[in-house]
Amino acid sequence: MKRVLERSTDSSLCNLPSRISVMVMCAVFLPFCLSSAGGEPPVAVKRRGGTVSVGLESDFPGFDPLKAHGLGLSAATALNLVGERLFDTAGDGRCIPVLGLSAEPSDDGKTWTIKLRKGVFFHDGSPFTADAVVHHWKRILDPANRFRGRLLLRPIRSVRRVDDHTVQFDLRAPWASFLTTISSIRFIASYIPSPKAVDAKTYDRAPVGTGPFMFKEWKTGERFVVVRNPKYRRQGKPYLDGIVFRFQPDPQTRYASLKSGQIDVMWTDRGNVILKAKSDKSLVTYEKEGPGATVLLLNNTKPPLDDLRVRRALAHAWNQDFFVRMAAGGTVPSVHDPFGDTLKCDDVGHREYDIDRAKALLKEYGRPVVLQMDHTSTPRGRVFAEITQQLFKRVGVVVKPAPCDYLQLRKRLITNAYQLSGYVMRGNGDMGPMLSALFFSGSPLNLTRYGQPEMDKLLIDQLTESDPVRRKSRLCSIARLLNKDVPIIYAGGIRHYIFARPEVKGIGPIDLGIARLSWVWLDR
Amino acid sequence: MRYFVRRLIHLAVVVFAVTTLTFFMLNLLPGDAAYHTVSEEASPQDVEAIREELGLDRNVFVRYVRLLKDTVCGDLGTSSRSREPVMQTLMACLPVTAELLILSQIIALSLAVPLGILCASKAETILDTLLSSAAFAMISVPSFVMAIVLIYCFALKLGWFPATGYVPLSEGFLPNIKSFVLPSLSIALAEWVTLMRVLRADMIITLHQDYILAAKAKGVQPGSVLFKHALRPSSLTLITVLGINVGHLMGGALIVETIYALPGIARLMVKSILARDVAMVQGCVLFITVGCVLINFLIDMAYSIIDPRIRRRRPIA
Amino acid sequence: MPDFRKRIGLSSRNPGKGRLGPSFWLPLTWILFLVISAVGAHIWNLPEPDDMDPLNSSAPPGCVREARVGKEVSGSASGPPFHVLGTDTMGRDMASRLIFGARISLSVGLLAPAVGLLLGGTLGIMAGFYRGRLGTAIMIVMDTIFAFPGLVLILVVAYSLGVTPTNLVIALGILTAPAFSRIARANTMAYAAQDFVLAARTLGSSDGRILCREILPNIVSPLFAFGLMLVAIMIVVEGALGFLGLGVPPPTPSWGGMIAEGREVLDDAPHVSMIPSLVMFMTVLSFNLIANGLKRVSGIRRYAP
Repeated sequence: MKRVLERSTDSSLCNLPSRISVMVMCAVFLPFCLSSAGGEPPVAVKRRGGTVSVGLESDFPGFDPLKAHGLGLSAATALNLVGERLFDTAGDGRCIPVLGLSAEPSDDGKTWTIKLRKGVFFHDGSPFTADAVVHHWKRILDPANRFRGRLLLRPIRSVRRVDDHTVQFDLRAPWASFLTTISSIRFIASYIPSPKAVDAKTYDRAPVGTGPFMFKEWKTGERFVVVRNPKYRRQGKPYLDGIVFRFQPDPQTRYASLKSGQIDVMWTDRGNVILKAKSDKSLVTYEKEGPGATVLLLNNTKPPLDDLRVRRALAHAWNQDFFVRMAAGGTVPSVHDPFGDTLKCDDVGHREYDIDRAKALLKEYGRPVVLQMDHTSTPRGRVFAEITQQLFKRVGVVVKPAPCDYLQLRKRLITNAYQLSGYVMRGNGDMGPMLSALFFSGSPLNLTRYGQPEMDKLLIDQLTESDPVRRKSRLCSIARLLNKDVPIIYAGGIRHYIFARPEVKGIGPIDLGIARLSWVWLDR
Repeated sequence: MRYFVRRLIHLAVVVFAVTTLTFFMLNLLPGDAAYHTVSEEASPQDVEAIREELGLDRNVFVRYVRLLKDTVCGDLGTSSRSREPVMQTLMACLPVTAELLILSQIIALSLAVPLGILCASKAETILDTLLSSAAFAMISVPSFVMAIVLIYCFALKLGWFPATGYVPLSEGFLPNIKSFVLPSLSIALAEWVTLMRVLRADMIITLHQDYILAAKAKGVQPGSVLFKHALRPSSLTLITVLGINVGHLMGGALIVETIYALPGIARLMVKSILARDVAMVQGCVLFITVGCVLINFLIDMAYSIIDPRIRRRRPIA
Repeated sequence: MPDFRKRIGLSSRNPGKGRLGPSFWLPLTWILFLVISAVGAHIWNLPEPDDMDPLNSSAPPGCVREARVGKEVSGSASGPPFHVLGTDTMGRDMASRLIFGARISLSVGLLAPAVGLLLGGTLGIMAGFYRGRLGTAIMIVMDTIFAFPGLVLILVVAYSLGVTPTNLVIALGILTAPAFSRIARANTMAYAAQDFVLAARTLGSSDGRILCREILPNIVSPLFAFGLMLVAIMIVVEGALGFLGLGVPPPTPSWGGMIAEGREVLDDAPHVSMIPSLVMFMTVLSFNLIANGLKRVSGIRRYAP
């Protein structure tokens, strides 16, 4: 990744004109910022009070970015209530001010000045100022702290305080995804914590932020409770007295609890539960297609997968529609690129299911193909392996499923000791950084060890390209190249589902699968 | 007294051996706790850093001695998975498993004792044969099969109980008990058979003893004979089997906790094994072993209450 | 004591005491049926156990196979035109999976106790014959294995060596060894003190000769009886491991795995779980009945530790 940046700096010096077109992606000046979209009914109609229970699949790993290192879907749903980010992104990619009021890039695109909201306080009473932001980001960026997501943040050189309510980020090079990255809803570092709580080392298990709800209680494996922040800066909001997150790992349990009213909102990604819940007229379904994809990783360094013909043959032997139907009950779309609804490419040259072509390619290769597929011994992992084995068997490729626990699978992925494995390419509003991490030849996160000069160039270009249209065409070219060289095979896109009881109103857009519950109210 | 001291030493040796073996076995498992903390997107350097942070870069034996020292001092350490004190998590999970096991034993006994007495008093009749055959069939139902059948009948078809899931006591006594009925039944229905057979056998022998015959001859009510005179001396083996079963029950508890999604100690142990959370696994093993030992100790006490003649004469394994 | 034993089983009331009634022959027929089906699984022209029928997932027994309707996505078309016992959640033929799964269940069920018997039995005889340091050491090792959380061992085997039927048999064999060793030790100790052993010793027989000629014949039957009881238990354990996702890797089917997979559709398609549950129940019951019958006939009493 380091190399990415060095080279990106070079390329920007060589290729780009000295004056970079101003990136006014998020230079919004809205002194009276009411973030939510226009469709809301007037406040008077909304009722105050009540508690909503939310059923989540997994407990949280903690909230301190340096300890938890990542933010799962469940944890993001909760942290989004307690903490706030500098900006929010609307469905169409527009930037909405939250703790930040405006963000402006310098002429050369290498410095961003962010103006902060005044008169905001953390739940512990300490004021939200530039110092809090700088304290947080210095901690994240400090290489000694080894924040895991720092590889994605490498373009940021430093952060500094300008005045009480202004901070400046210095970049090593112009970076198109700067704002979306540092304020992504699924990025643990996006949420500004109270410096007091961080220094007291209590933030990890008792997060303190500026959000509409305050942390109250967390019983591991059982519940996580937040209550209304009475001093929240927006009059009359939030409406609820509190929100209780209940951890129910079994999707059937969650569904049954939702039906019986023990919980009011639930998340799931299990096909059969989704189908059942969707057809249930007494529940409201929120669904949204998202970026990202479930993929089959092909380790490009392990024979016979180092042979392009074999990888292409596997791509043609792969019946994505069959997979999606069998593994997810058809509740996710078949995809040809990882962009979901965030970007529409015309033609990315996806290799369609074609047994004859697969067989022809294998014949050309000429040797028998035997592959080991590592998978977790969970239902999800097993189903993935069983379908893969079955699909490839039809073209004479032998796949031997090798069940292991997730930790071992992780080790095999990180140490590059696998041939085939399932993997979920996490979705982000901007897939650029993720793609760079996964497919740049020098990136340590390049799980497939795919390396192509053409791909490297495209990845660097999209990183620095500021013109949206040109950047889009770069990203589409990346998707095309992925289909051409087949380091991964798509096993269904992402479609998020949230189910709620009808009396729960005001659930925000569920971008990236996170139910926005800040302004929920109960119509009982 | 000497007997107890000797037993204590024996148990200490076994507990020590078990925890030691667990520790080194866990180390044989590929991957360590560092891989739990990172995700697939970590670099090998990140893993190394976290390993250092968790102290996993040190020699296995050094780590073991340290763990041992802390444990002896009463400090079970901190979970590498949740970064919570092990003790705290164990204390949260213990009531769940305890409630499950106690309820299941109550159900098993309340089935086994009356039916055992019934069968013994009507020994060699059609009723006895029928009940014994039914019991024999029931013992052949694996607990997870039993659980599936119970869920299908009582949760999905009749809707009397929740299919799975745990409701903490803080949300009301009735919902809490309701969430435990099916899990406890799944264990109890597989277990009561053994208890019943043992009780029936002992009871038959007791019923042929002279003092029972004498009581009958004196005109004591038959029911009174069975419950007042015969039950107590007949429950020796029953109690022993209860004690022996505690060990097996933990295995059963794992399956049941998994199926019914109960956050108990058995499931905690499996989750911790999967996360290579050594401190937590050791805590679980320690709790489970000590729990078994304690229960067997209590059962020893029960012996002398049931039959004062036995006191300290009979070493029970 | 003998009198007491006789009274507990179903047997004591059986008029044809010493003979084997239908409660022995019926289960034996079922087991033989299973064994023959499993051994000849590839001869019976069954649908492949991993063949997915996308139009028929969780289909009820007797549904028409998609392979016979059109062959757009399906694989092989061998076997009958119907799914005799329906299909599982992924549209695979249940009957075929049950038969192929029987191979694993039966071989683990029969072989694991055999390993345990050999290992535990040998050590137990040694411990019973050479009481003293060796005996104590053996029993401490056995006690430790006994108290050791078996799941940890299974996980270590499963994840570091991989679950193969062989590994499973060995791991479960080791876990059952302590029980065998206790029985062997207790019985050896009892017999070693008896007159005929003392007689053999005074006649100058070597230890090995006494063990093989005098003691072994006497303790084989209680060990064997216990082993037979364990068969049923091992089948359950193998099922439980499959149920927990720790069974043999896919695509090899296992009964426990099949029951677990059916849980998701228990509401709409109960047969997916219930049919393998029933097969498993019948098999376990059969082994229990067979063990019971044999125990009764051979009149073995001294089997418990």
